[in-house]
Amino acid sequence: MRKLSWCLCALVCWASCTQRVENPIQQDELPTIYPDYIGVTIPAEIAPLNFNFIEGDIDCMDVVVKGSKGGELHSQGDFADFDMKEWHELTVQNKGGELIFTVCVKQDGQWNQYKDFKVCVSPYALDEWGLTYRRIAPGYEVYSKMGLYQRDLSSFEEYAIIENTQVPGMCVNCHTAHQTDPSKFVFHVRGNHGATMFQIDGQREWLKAKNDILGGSMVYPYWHPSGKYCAFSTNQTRQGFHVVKNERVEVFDLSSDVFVYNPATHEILKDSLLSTKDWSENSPVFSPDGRTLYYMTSKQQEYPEHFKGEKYNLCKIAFDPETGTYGEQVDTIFNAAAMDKSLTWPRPSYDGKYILFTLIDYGYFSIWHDESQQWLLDLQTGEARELKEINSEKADSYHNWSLNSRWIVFTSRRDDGLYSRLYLSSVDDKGRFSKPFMLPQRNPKEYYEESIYSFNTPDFTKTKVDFDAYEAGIEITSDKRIETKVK
Amino acid sequence: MKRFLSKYNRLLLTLLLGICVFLFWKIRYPFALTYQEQFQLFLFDGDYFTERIVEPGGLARYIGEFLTQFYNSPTLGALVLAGLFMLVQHLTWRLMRSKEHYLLSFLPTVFLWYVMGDESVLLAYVVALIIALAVCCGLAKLFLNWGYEHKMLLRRLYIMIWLIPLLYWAIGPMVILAAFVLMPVSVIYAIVVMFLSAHYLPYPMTRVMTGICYYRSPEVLPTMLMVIPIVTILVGNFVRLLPKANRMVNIAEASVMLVIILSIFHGFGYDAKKYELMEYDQLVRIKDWKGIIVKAEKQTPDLPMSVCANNLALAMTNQLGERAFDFYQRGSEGLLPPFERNFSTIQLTGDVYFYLGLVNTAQRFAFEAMEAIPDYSKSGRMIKRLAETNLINGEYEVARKYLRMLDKTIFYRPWAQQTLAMLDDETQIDAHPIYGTLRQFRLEDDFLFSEDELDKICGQLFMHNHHNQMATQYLVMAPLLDGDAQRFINYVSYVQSKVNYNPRYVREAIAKIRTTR
Repeated sequence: MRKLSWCLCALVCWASCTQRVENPIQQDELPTIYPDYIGVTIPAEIAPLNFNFIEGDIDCMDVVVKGSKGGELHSQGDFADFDMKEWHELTVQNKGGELIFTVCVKQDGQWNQYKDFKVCVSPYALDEWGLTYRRIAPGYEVYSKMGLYQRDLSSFEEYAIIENTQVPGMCVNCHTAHQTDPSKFVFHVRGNHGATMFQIDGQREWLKAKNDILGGSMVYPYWHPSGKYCAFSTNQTRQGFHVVKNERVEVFDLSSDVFVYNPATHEILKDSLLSTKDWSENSPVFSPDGRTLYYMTSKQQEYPEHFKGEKYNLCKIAFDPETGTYGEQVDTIFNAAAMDKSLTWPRPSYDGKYILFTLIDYGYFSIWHDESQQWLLDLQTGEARELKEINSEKADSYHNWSLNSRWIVFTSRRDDGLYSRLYLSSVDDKGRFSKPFMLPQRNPKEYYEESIYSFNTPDFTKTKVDFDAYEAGIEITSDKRIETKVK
Repeated sequence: MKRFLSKYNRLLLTLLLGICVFLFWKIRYPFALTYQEQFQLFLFDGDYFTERIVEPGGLARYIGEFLTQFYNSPTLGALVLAGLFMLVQHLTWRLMRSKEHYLLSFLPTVFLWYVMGDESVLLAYVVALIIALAVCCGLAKLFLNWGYEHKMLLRRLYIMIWLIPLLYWAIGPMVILAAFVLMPVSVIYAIVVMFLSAHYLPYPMTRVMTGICYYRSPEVLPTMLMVIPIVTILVGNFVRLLPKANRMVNIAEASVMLVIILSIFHGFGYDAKKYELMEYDQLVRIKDWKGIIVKAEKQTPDLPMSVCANNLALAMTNQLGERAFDFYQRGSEGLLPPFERNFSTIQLTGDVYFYLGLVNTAQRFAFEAMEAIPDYSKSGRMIKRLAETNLINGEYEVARKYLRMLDKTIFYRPWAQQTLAMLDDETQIDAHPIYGTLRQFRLEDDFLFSEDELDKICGQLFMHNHHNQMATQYLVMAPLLDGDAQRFINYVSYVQSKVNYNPRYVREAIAKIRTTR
């Protein structure tokens, strides 16, 4: 009898959630969904594109997804919540094809059917396990709970790499893997127990946060393709705070230089061309062949009065990985200052075709600049263009490429103007980007609305990052540090 | 009556404790309750519960935070505390193996009362103590029914294996109290469970072993918190060793207890200066400018933040130029204290910037204040302020996000709903007495904020809008408080060329400077 009652209860629950879409009124418009997945291009491996209907309260939503190459998927409930296994079967089956979404919404007892929309399944694989990023409140100087995290892109699972609760007062940033391979990665620890951490093939090393000869910390790392070197800048960073609306924080460097670090010898490879007195060199990156070091540079200004005069250009210098020496000439390859703009975060595609960068009015800390836009420099033609297809009116910023150079991930504040979210976009053979889509979540509206964190410094990761946060916490507090030396 | 008293004397004593605790918080320290409340934002939300329950002590933390939200109303907050204290006492009594020394059952409660003078002690600790005591009582009763036969040892072991990890997850290290009652070996088991869990938790070992959610600051080892369970165990188990209760013993116990309670009532364990600041903070929060000045008249404020609060109150009532030097002053830092990474100072200074019309700076200070909360909680008061600053700045989507958070609370909900209805309505916001005025006060020419040039910023505010009375007063009084005659003359000349502002201390200063020259 008891079992029968349970069965009846279950049946009633199921029946109340499963309704037939009867006599829907055809609406001559697309459904208003969150996130806006209409017309986006996705990799077949991506987690289900669950979404919410956001035009008023609803009784129920019914979504049918049909593949252009076959297959069908159905979801009904408060939001589109697709079965993980069925979703992946459908996307794999339709790789290179399209998914047609039919959305019916029941409001005040009446079903409405909206115009179908499509999502393209890219023929290009993602070839990455997931993403790594930092989650932190978009604050100013003080930070509460934050950490480095990794996210499986084929599901909704997120794992902490390390959180600052592990060591009170600690801040972690700039997690950077070697070409998306987490067998070699680096990040910085700031606070009383500051350090730069290198983990190479499971072995951790904690470098002294500041080298007296450098005059600052190691900042903005980027691995050499061989994995033998890691480029950094060292910056005397300051923050300023705007007094007018729509402007918040300004980050500028009193000085900055660029150098390359050799983890095997703990040596820093400096050069006078990369440590000039009147110019600030910053954010170095290697070309995919490892023979060129790109970086950005700006004439130093009097701070904080003339912070708006800080305009960065993109430069390059030859680098010989065999000897660890630099070329004797610096070339400017994108003159942003001539456009009265400033360039920041150059990121070469791993196939050597492009450099993706961000253009802002001044300075380099683009997340606080609403006007920041993504640009693409074609290294074969030398031409650069604004990526209007992925840009928005709010800050579009920090980006990285997948190893196959078919996908990018970047941050954008387009959602609410303050909290950075992650977006992915695909790149075709001609360097055209698809409409970006927001990182999927199980219940996206609830997740992003309740989240009080910004996502920043995202990158792809080939496999899950293996990191012992507990042991790392003990090592951080031990303050045992390796001294770096300048060659 | 005598018969009634004799029959219910224990109950009446417990009730008396409750009344004392209630009056203590309701009358003596009501502002301490509202001060505590602003360090958290309890949300009726599944994720909020999940975030807490995934950590050891999560259930105690959730219940503690649920109860702390009632501190918003000092009456309800005092009732909550009275109830919890009575529970601690009653459960201690139930646990005592000898029922003769009833007054000793008050000992842990009295210690708790003293410990709670430290504003960083969280209610989760009290909840964990109560749950542990309740489990202890339950176990004691169970074991009494079972008797002490040898085969019962296996049953106890069986209970230990599942109860200790479960209870540890629910209440944190307070599980040791229950483990002690269960059987001595289970204390070792509990410590091993805690030790192992530390390897999988994002916290250092010391924090896991002393309780993630018992104390607000993770960098302080709250030793007093460890004393209470020990006292409880001593009272519960070793009370039998005390001399049999007689009239003299009862009188002695009652006297000791009375002295301790009276000491606490007179503020023993409660840092007078700290609590004075809490009161100023609360008065600023509720905009009781008159109350602040009355308080300052009784005892002149001398701490940076109390001076700041009093100057703010004087300026808000347009009396700064008339009365500033009636009180102790600390230079222009008494108007706008420098930034410190500390919740209390940041949020009070942020309030000053807010009323000055430096909305962006107020927004920054609100954000920083919230981020400075040591246990990583969010603050209802600061979220409210952030919703306001974003609303004033026209960042409606961000304001909406904060308002929706507040909509999931009991006490902020009415305000959140009222403000949500105002979003996107420029006319309504412009007509609002505070938001509309502050919109007019906001600067339009951009520059980077500098703490070293606060008088110049006040000057900018005044030049931008001559109706900004607070900026006028701060601009003129800042050099006067610093004793900089030249700057004062420059500023006051400019101000007086634009508006009619000539209060007592300005007149006196001008006269004195002229006489000196």
